[in-house]
Amino acid sequence: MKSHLFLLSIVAMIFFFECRTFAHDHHEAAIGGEKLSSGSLYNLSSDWQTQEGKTIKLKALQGHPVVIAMAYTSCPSSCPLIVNQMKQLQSKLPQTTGTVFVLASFDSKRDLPAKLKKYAEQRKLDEQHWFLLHGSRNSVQELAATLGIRYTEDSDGDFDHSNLISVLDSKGVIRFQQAGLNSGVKELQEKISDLESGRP
Amino acid sequence: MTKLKLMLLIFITPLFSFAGMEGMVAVPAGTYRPFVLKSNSKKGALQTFRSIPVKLASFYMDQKVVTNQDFSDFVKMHPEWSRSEVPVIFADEHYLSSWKSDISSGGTDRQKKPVTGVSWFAAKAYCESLGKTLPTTDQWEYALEDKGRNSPALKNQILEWYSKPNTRSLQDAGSDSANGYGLHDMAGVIWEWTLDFNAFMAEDELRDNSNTGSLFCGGGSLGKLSADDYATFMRFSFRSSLKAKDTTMNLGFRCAKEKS
Repeated sequence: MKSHLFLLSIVAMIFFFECRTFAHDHHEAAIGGEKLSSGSLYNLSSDWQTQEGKTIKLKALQGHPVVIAMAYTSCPSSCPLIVNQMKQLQSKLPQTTGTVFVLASFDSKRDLPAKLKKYAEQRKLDEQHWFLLHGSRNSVQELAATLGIRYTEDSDGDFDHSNLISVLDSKGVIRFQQAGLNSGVKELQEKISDLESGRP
Repeated sequence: MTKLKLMLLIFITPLFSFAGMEGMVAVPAGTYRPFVLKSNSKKGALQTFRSIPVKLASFYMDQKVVTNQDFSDFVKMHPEWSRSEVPVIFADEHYLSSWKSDISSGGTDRQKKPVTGVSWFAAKAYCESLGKTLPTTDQWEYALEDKGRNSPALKNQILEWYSKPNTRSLQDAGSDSANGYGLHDMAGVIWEWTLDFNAFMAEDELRDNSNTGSLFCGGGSLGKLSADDYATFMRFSFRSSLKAKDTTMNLGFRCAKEKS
């Protein structure tokens, strides 16, 4: 009996050691057979919830130009300006535009879908063109890092952050970025029309 | 020893392995005054200061930096992180460029050396695959501070390291003597990624934008930095100059783990 226990403990030991293996995780490498571009933002495979409560991956945005920025609903000053710039840009595009506007929230804790929906309604961000996204802290960190946006959460749960509007092509590759709040929307508009008409 | 003791030993030792703790030490809880780097556009100067003390809970930290061997094991299991497969959005064109092949740094003498030429995404993926994370900047700096145990000698060591051009090859990970927490490689070996390396700094116009350019612009208050804080300033400035996909030949990492 004792020797059986001893053997069992050896087996258990081997088993436990083998468990120290690298957990498998898989990057989304293909969308319906077509491989993602190496420079595509859509290589980020985490899940996000929209203001409608739908769960999506960023690659769901592929197929049209995307204007993307990061903000949060409780943001006192700079975020309303970013949103206004994006709305202004939208107003300069044709009605038939396929371009979508994405606002990803820094605030994983408070900016849940219902709050995002309310924010969208208050600011008249139409659901045909606007995606407001809630994600985990990790997703937010990765997206900010990929876009090159800096941010820090302070002790009150508010965020200090840089301001950056990025334009992605239909494959999710960053084609243009505009920093700050003072540059107007002319260049952004030009870039979008280039992308929409297939100009390089 | 008795059979009972032997069995207990056999059961308990692998439990550390199962929890992923081997090669880690517990850094005890304590307070720490974060170094802050901000630009003050009104005064036209760079501001550095130590903010109010923050409490850090105890956490686990890798005793040594991650080696070529460690990273090679990871890439074998996750070929999507090999240099020929990794998306360019996650790692620049110099990713693992010193390695002999996709899966090995080559040379038995290189296996125990710190892995460098890795991006933040790659470092993060490595840690997460082991159920760990990158340490936060606060955790890393707190660990370096070592409760002020070796303060003058440590600061001299760091300043000396920063002042030398890096022509010598890297030493093996863990070959220096450990600090008071049992951590190796904290000074004089490589720069290390942290989880929140891209924390906000007041203004982006603090550095020129050339890739090989200087890390920072000078400012009036910079001259008032003590030698003590100059070394810290160098690290903060370096980290904030990085983009997540960047790799450099002197930048590696280690992992940490929250205590649940």
